[in-house]
Amino acid sequence: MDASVVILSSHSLFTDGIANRLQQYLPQSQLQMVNPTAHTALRELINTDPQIIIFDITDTDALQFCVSHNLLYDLPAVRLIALNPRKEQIRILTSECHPAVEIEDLLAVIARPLYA
Amino acid sequence: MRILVADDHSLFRDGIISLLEATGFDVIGNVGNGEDAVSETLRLNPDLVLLDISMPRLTGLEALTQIKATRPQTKVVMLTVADDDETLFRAVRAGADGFLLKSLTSEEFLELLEGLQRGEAAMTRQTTAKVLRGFSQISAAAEKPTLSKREIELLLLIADGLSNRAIAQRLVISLNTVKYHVKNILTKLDVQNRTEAVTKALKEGLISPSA
Repeated sequence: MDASVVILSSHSLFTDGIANRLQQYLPQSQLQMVNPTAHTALRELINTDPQIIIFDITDTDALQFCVSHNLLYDLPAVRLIALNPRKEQIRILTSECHPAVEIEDLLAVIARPLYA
Repeated sequence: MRILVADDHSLFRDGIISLLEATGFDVIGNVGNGEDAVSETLRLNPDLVLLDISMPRLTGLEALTQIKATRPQTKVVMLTVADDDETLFRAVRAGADGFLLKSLTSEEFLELLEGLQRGEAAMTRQTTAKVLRGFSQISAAAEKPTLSKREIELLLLIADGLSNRAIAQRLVISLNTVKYHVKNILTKLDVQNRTEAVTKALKEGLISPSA
């Protein structure tokens, strides 16, 4: 596995636990923790340009950070992985970017099968 | 400290075990439901059980009660995602040695577990304050004076400004009986006179002001 991973965490028990476990599988250079409440968080994230960002969906700081900074726009290739300490579930949010010149472009995207 | 971790959320359980082991704690077992938490406690005899509140088969609170009934010396710390006072009080009454929110930072969590080894309760200051407030309310309620139905009836007439003689006539009882009830009311409310009795009864919510 050679993906570069960032864990967006305010050091909660859940995300720190996940990070600690992932350290056993990923080299240290590929795993980084970023605190969403730090004022340098966005710059850190963009500089790292990770392929994967993992966050706790119940962590309001992390969630607000993802939404307010529109991470999928700034990092279109990133895969956002939302984990939930209340549910055994991994929710993946991905991004696609298409040109939008005419309404037909939008219709073409709407008409595409969801899981092509 | 030998620890058993009981949580039905596998990722959370795995993460917390990893953190505990990295800090030097000895995790001797882990289970995903309350029933196994009880049986593994009996089998492994851990020093500490970290018990999730919300688990299948037996809830964390049910498992806590069973563990404390059979192994009272085993420390049990409850883990929860929800900051719910009712569950907190039930856990404390059932003998929990700690009550921790899963949203705690890992640093706080590990510090509180180290405190537990020194005999402290594994609770944040906010949770401890809630427990103290809860118990002081219970003790205040227990100390609240209780008046009989007749005494309250009489007190309401006193509050309306009726004299002892008028009360006797209204309730069709003797003047001595009225005096007897008034004396009891003053003693129970620990006051000197009828005005103080009415004021205190209103303050304690024993009677409501008439419309």
